[in-house]
Amino acid sequence: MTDTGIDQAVENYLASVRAELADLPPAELGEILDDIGPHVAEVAGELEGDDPAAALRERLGPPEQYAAELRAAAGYPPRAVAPPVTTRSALSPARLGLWLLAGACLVMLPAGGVLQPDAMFVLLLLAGAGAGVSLLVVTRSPGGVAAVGELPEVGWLRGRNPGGTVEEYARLFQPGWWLVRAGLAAAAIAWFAAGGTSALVILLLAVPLAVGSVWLGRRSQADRRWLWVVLPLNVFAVMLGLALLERGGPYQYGGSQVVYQDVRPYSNIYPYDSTGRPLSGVFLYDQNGQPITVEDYYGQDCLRGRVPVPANQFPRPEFDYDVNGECVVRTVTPTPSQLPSASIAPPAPSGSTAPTAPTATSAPPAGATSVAPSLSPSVPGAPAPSTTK
Amino acid sequence: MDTSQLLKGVLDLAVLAVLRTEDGYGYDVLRRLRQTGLEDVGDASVYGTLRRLYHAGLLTSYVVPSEEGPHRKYYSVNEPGLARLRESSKTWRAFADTMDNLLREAA
Repeated sequence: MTDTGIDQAVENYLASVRAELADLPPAELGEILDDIGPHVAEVAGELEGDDPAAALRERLGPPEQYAAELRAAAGYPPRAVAPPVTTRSALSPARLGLWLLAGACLVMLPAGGVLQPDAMFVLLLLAGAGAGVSLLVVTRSPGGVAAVGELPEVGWLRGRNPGGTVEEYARLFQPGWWLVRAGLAAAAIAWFAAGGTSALVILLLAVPLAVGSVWLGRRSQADRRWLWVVLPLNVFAVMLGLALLERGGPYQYGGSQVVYQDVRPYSNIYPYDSTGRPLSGVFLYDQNGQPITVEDYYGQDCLRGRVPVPANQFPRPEFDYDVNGECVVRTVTPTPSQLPSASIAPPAPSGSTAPTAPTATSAPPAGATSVAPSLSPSVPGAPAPSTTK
Repeated sequence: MDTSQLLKGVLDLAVLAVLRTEDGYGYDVLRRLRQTGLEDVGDASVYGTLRRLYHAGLLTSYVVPSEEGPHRKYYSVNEPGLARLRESSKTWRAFADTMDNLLREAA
């Protein structure tokens, strides 16, 4: 018998054993082959006969049996059963469906954001087609909708959510969201149909839409196929809502203005320190370092021709008009409805979000820069300024 | 009686005992076991046992390059392995004595 014949037989035998133990960690498998490789080669070298492969099997037993014996003696776990087909095949119908649905949701991002009927129509059509094909693929596949839930991608998503807390919150806020999206749809329809937003029209539209939205929500909980309709529409609704807010829908989203509380705008701001002492010359900035100003500052007219006061310096001077119609500075000492007590110390200001340095024209006086914008307001409630002339 | 059934329970002890006298690689251990009279010991069982004892922290291993053929991985008994061997020996002796008495009475 030839040496190459022996080598070939040894190689084949070891390959079969390796295949039988392929479920073990690669490092461990390498160690085993380091042990048995020389052994099988040595045994083969001692063999006689014309068929080394058969002789080797005769001497050591079939490789499957050899591997099984080794596995039992080493105490390795029994051979892992092959995972279900859905997780192994790279492109199952379920996976195709999932990614098509994800694509449809992705297309909905710009669709909700454009606020332009033509572009929105095209994108909606595209997303609808994607979701439709996805649903068709998934429902026609043997696993059906349930197979999508068993995909490792979906499992990974679930793994991000230990204990199902997200699901718990989702369930809690779901009915609220159903109503919100109905309102958004109403606002969108009013926007496109009338080019504007009247509260009454939105309200009238919202009522039937809310009924439909709740029905859709409950329906999709019972029949997961509705998710193929609901998920892209939800993305659309969120984006539409954001776009409407940005474009100045019914609620103005002020960039760096202190907006409304109740309907009345603030006309001034009176800061207090933690001991309840009123502060003056305080400069306010938002999280972006932009100065915070009050809208429709009452004393604007009286400021003309005077020494300029930075718009974000508070409290702003208050003015009155005297009998001659001249501006007169008045002293205002608000009586806060609730003052901080010494026991409730405000959090230490953190400099991490310090505003950009004010420009020279609005430079705060020295000593005032320690008021960082990250400091949460220490005077809660609405101070009611009382005026003394 | 088929000794392979009996061997299953004491292969650990046999492998540790063989390695206590001298370090050895897999086939070497197998050969020495056979030479002492344990003819029925299975090749794969010995390798599996070596791996299990190694993972249990009773053996250490080192590789010795070989001039002809592949390098060889030697196993050697460490301190916990020796302790296990002493302990198992005691158990085995007590068990063997009991069996001896039992069989003597039966004879």
